[in-house]
Amino acid sequence: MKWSRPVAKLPVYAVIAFFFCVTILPILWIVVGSFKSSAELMSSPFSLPERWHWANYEKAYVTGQLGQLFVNSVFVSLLSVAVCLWFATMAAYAVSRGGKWASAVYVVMTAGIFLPINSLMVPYYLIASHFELLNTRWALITTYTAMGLPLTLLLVYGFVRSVPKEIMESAHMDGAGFYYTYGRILIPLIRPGMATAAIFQFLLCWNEFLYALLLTSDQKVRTLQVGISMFKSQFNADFAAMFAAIVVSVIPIIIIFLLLQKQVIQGLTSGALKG
Amino acid sequence: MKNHHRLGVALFLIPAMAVFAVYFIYPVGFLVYTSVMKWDSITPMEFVGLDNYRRLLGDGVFHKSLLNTLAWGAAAVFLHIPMAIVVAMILSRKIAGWKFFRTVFFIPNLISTLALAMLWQFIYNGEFGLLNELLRSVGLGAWQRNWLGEMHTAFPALIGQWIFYIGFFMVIFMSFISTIDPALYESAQIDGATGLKQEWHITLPLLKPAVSIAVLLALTDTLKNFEAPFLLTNGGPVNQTMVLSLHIYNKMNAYQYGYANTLAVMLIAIGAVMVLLVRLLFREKDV
Repeated sequence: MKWSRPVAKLPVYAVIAFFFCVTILPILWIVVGSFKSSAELMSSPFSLPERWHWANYEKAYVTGQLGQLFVNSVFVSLLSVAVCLWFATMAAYAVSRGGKWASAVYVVMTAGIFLPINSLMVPYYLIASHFELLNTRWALITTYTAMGLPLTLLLVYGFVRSVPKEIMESAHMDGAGFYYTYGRILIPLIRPGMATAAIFQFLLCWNEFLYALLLTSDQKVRTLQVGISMFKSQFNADFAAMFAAIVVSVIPIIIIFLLLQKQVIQGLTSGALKG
Repeated sequence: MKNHHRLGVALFLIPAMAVFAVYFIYPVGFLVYTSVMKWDSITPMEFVGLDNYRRLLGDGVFHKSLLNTLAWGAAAVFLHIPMAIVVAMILSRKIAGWKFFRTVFFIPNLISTLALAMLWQFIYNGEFGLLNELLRSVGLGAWQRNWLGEMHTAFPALIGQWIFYIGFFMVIFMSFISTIDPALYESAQIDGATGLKQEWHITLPLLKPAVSIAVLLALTDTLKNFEAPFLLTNGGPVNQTMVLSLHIYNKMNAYQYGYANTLAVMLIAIGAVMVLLVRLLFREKDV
């Protein structure tokens, strides 16, 4: 843009500086704190560590079994993302090819976005128990897939709809059938959109806490979020080790975001514009 | 080419519909059904009519959590969203480093509420908390307190640990602002309107659809609050920071499944009312 709008400098930068201080500084402070000893964290909380040491990370890994928690989180998140996207792309394609009743199904399912999912604690517990999934990673995979389905469907359908009609019609002319068009034409075309939807579903699975707490109770199947919440008692208020665990749990998310920032922002925008 | 593949369409809808039926339609029906039952999950259910709903009227903890939910929603609508709008307006003017700040302000929205709650636990701690240290170092030692433990500071502290994470809505507003025709600002500039006036008279009115969506999302998010009260205060002191989800969780753990589900029905009803109200409010204004 050639023409730039003028700004009153001082107040504007004061606002930005304020938000910088309250949002990101405390988070950076956790990162720094994870390299201090617990004693140093208490005695001089604002200073840089005298000696940067990895002992907290070691402790989180050994005592807190961070490795196991991490693997569980990855397993649950990736599988749920895969299943959710698979179901959602199929449904979105069906809605785009179907008649009025398919559209009605779409409207009802996406309305699920507004259902306060916390209200379903008892039913979700009983469903997991009915299918004998309680205290397994599958309880989380199934529940998260369901929880994320409405939003994933909304996002994916937006991308399906944006595929030019001519492409689909010419595929039809060339004799491409319903299933062939889905697998060989549609999916490759909407792959960038699927990446966006995948990030949002991954975020949901990675950060979810309430249902992970309700549906699992064994350290072997727990995810990072619940595992870390248990550290408080496990480590006897050893905050430095807890900080190390938090840093490890946040790093994958930050990396994915920095790599795919454009898709995230695009997804937010397109999702919101249609909302 | 539509409707030529009824079988394919049906087959492709089945998995999603099955998931939706099992995890959305059945549970909501189940909640309504069990909300009129006395049920401890072990002995068989017993029909008690509207007893559970009558119990709501006398349940002080429910009233408190309702008030807190409303207060949280009000903070979202009248503080959180306006702050997001102001920062979005500033960054949309492409000030130096705007892309950097957009990323930085968004990052807390990627981090789990659990991790952030852990952080704020350390900030608010009464003995060695950062906030107290900060106050002492600037000579306001008299203001030090156990922020999460005292009656009149616990709830504001809970609001404070979330309210500044405006990145999510800021990004939505910024993308809306980027679609506004720059010529509008140019001509306003020629007419002598200052930056502030331009934002007030041009940006804000055009932002209305985005604000309507943001209000809707913020209010429904309010109903999902659980982690922060659960971890930071567990609803205390004396239920000062109780929220509906936590109340349901506690009743479930006390094996009062029937009453827990009555509370859950209320949560859904409040959510539905909020959605309807926001839609109605913003539709009327548009006319």
